[in-house]
Amino acid sequence: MTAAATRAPAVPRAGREKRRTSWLLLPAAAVVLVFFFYPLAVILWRSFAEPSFGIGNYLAVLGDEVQLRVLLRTLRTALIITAATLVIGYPYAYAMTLVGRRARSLLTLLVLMPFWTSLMARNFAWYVLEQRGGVLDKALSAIGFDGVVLLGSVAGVTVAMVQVMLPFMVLPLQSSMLGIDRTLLHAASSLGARRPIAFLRVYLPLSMPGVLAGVSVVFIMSLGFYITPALLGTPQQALVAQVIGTQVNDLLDFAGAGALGTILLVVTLVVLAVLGRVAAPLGTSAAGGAGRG
Amino acid sequence: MRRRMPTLLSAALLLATAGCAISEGGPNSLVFVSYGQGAYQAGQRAAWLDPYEKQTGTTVTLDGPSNNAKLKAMVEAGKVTWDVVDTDASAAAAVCGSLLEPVDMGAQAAGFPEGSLTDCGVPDAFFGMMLMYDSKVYGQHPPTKLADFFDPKQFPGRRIIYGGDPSVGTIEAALLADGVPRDRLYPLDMRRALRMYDRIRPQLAISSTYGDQQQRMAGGQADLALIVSARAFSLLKAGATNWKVVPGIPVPVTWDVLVVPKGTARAEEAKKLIRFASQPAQAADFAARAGVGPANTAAPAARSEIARQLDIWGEGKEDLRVLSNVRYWAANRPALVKAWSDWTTG
Repeated sequence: MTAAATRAPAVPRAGREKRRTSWLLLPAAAVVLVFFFYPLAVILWRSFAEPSFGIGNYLAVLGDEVQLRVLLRTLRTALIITAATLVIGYPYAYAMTLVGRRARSLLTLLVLMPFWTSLMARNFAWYVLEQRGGVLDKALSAIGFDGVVLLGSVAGVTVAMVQVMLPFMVLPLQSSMLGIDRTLLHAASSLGARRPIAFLRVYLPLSMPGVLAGVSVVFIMSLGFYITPALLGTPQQALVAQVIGTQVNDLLDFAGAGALGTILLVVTLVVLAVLGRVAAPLGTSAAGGAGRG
Repeated sequence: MRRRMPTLLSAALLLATAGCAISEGGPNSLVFVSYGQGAYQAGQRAAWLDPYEKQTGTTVTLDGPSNNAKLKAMVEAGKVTWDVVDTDASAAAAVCGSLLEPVDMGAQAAGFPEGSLTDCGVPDAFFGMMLMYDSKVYGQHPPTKLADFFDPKQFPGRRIIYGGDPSVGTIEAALLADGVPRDRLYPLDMRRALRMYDRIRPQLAISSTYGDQQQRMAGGQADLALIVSARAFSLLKAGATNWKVVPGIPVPVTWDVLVVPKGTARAEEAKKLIRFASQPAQAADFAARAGVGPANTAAPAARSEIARQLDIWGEGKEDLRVLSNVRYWAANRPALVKAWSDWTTG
């Protein structure tokens, strides 16, 4: 610190400015350090240290058929939710960039209204909609699908979670799409590209950062989601967060829960790394191609 | 350096205030922890806490919901803000000595049913695992025995149980239904019990909370249910009148206990409150309000019609009560809960 202080005068003005303002990050960094990294470190430590030092807790999880099945079920559910929100969210966000100002505020409001509504209220609404004799059941039997009860099924949880997660997909998509210069599309068509081609080779690659942001957020949040599966699902279709809940609340097995949580974290990081690997070159090379076109 | 101080100071202040946000309470106050809003906690407030405050001048604050994991975290962190906690008997017995203070009940110990008082847990409410049915569905041909719950041929229909904790009588009910004599229930034959549940797996819904179970029963989402009496009481009181209790069948009985977390600065005061609440009059008052069996057997019987249906201590019910073996549950809890949750999530 003293070295930095003595060297400070030699630093050019802009650098000094940067150095001075970087202190503003301190409170945020402290909060993250104390309320995120410290507990995480404790959980990690305990997962190795209890009941005896070693990797016993991890072997127990990885050797447990049921826990592995739950982990896979969680990954699959999160992937389905991510895909569904992307399929619904992309055209929606695209439409938001096309329409006029008034229509856009209306569309934004439609996304934000559920976002602002309490999660509990929305979950209970789905609870009522999905139950036997509920609106969905009646609507489905009216068109010939009898006795489809979504409450307590993976499908029911998925439908509700797609609705809960949709804003997290639409908002980053829209903000990245707003940044795309639409004259590029005109340029592409003036050079002979038909509209679908122009969209696929110019617009889609340019919107990839938004897609990546949305996909990552939705996927990560879905993996650790607790309330919706706990309320609308059943233990018969438990996701990882509920199993962790059982370990903590019913068995007081903090170490085992920590091991399962750590495995979930690692799996998440691996999936994200793969996602980034796959998507990043796709985005840049396609954008490069568009530039050449 | 001086210029940097305000940021550092504000960060430090922020952390310091965050740490102090948990209220400690004064020497003349206690924190009582129960399960949140509802007849149960309201009954405790009216039957125990209000009279205790009036008698001793001690302020009793309610906190909740009761949570064993939170209790463990508090004791381990050395920052215990709970003084008296209402929790389930077998979980309490499992952590007696490590997380909980022993409570000596002295002469009052004789008032509790045999085997229900443990070193750290003082019974405060008894629950029966009741078999209930929707009388609109089974009007002409109602179920009459526990085995009917596990017989989808004779009694088609959707079943519902609470699956969060198998120690509330879920396993015992299945074994009793399968013909295991009541005095040979323990050690529990978990595989045999799960084979019983296998029979009704396609018809079975498992709720992860009691609230969900009540909600689904009231909403006509189930036709048959195994449900603890305190929840059945709330359900019937709320007007779900087409639900009926199957009378005259064995009832697995479990109970809640009051415990004192290790490390609270007001342990003696907390034990005083527990002894106060365990007196016959207080126990009976709470039992009548919450629809549970009174913990003190010297207490007079409950009166209301609904309460009589669900009463586990009433006359002629001696041969039907099957008290849980909490010591067995405490010793084998991890393996049993694991087997149960593997079956439910499998």
